[in-house]
Amino acid sequence: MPACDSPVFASEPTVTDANLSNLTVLIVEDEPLIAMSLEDALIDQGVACLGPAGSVSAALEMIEAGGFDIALLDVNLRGERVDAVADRLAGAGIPFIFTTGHGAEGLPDAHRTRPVIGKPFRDIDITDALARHRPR
Amino acid sequence: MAQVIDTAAGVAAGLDPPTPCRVLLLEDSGIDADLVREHLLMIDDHSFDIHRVETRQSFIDAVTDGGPFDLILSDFDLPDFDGMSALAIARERLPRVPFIFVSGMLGEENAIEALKKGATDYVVKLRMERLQVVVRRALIEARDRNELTDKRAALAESEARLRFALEAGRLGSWELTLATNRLRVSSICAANLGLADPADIPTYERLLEHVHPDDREHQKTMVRQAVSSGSPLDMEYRTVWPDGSIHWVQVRGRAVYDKDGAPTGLAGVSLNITDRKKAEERQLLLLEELNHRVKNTLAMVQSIAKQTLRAAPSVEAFPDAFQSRLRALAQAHDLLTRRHWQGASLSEIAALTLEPHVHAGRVKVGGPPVNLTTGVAVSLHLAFHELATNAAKYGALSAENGRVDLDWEIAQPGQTLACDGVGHAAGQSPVRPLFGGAGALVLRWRESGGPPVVPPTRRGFGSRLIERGLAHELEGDVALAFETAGVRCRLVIPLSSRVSPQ
Repeated sequence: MPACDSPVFASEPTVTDANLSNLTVLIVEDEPLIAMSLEDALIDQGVACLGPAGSVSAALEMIEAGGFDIALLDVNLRGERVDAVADRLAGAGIPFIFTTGHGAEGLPDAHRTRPVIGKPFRDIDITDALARHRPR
Repeated sequence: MAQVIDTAAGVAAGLDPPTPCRVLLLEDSGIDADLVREHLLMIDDHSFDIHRVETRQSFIDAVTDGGPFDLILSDFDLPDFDGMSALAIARERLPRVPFIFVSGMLGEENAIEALKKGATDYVVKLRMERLQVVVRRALIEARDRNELTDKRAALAESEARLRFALEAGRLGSWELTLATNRLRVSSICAANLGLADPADIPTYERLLEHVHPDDREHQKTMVRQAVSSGSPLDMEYRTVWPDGSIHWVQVRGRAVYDKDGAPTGLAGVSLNITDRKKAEERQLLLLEELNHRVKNTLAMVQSIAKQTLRAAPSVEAFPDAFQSRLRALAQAHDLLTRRHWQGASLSEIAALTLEPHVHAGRVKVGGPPVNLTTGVAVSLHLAFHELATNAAKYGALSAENGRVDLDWEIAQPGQTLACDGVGHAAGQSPVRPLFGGAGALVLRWRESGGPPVVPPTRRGFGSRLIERGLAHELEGDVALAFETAGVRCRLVIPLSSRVSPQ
């Protein structure tokens, strides 16, 4: 089966000008469909992906192992808040972007100033945010 | 006009002679009894219905069962009885009925003693003309006294009813006097603040001590406004109980004014609304949760759309594949809603997709009871949907004699799994020690009797969902094999709170 880059949404920008070269992203997301979709979007832009980590403990293990530049962080994993994951990333000086269906109220108090992308999101929202917040 | 005349006639008809005054007369002498009767008849505006008794027993009977009486007239000396005993009996049985002695001789000492013991008055027979005045006065006084007693009783009853209603409604009542800031509260009002004794809050200042510090200014402002504007007071505030717990109180009231219109106080009711507040908070949480779920579901739908589009062989193939997946997602939501989003059993989830094929005798499903949390249930359902769709299009369910076996078991830690054609090298895959002491759910999908399977050159949505998504989400081993004899899939999922045997 050939890959089908559909012409249906041809007018949508599918390639961003943002600088995403040599970037590895850790995906922390408990919903497999959304994680797969994120991976597709990032791999299409030549971004390498780690994860997805679907639980707080899995995310902490992957942070321990390292090897990524920035993280996309769902604020709630199987009913568990991700405060501990955000704390660990902040402590390690690794930038991260929240993804959430909750709105800004659901963010960990200590990390309210971090960038947030609301679900459902466009691919370009993700790639733009990654380019803007990646380490220089 | 006729009506007016009728009305006037009605009023005239209403002017019946007043109800006769019922008199109990204790008198052994017939002559004296007649004398009394004559004098009573001379009293204007009254008619009398006299019941005369002559003996002790007949007096007791009349007092006990006769009447009711409006007046008792009694001789002082009787052959088998005496007036003072009659008085004692009457005071005990009919305390509200005036008792007047009518006697030939009544010494001053006896008269004083009689009045002390509760007689209303006395008339000596030599001055019988006094009887009219004495009876008239006694009847008026008795009427006034009885009216007052009735009003007091009615007031007490009304207060008791009000208190009952307040208590039944768990409403506390309170009253504030502005000049002194004195507060009078009912015990329910005190209990709403966690206090056993209403005397614990004798003033408004003392009440404020029990109001949550953050709500005090608001409380004071609302009370001031109610006094100055005359508008009804209606507010809710938090109270800190002596044990430190926080409760909600609703207060409704109104200012009280003197005859010049100056406010003198404030009075009203208080209600413990903690339960209602908790329900409101819960509702807010539910709304927030609903918002989250809707957003998450929209994101899932978006992902399904994008990935279906990527994998679709043509744009024309997209709608059918997309709609079928959306329908599967909706089915899972229906089932979970029926289970109040408390999860579902593995057999329920399997039946959701496979029930029609099971009925047709094409699919066999079996395994021990296993509980799944909502997230796992949705993912497994979507996986079964992909496997069944593929089987119906290209696999065992596309051929007349093809069949699918879906079974599962609970494997103990370290147990060696039977060779089932999928999995790791040599077909043997012991449950990994990573699964801890809990063991694992081993689930197998086996197709047979279908057309020879041609392995796809490119993994589609279903394969990705099962091999990547499911494996990741369940932190388990997933093996999907496109064998010539039929598609096989094996999931080894470590047992956890998300996947647990019943």
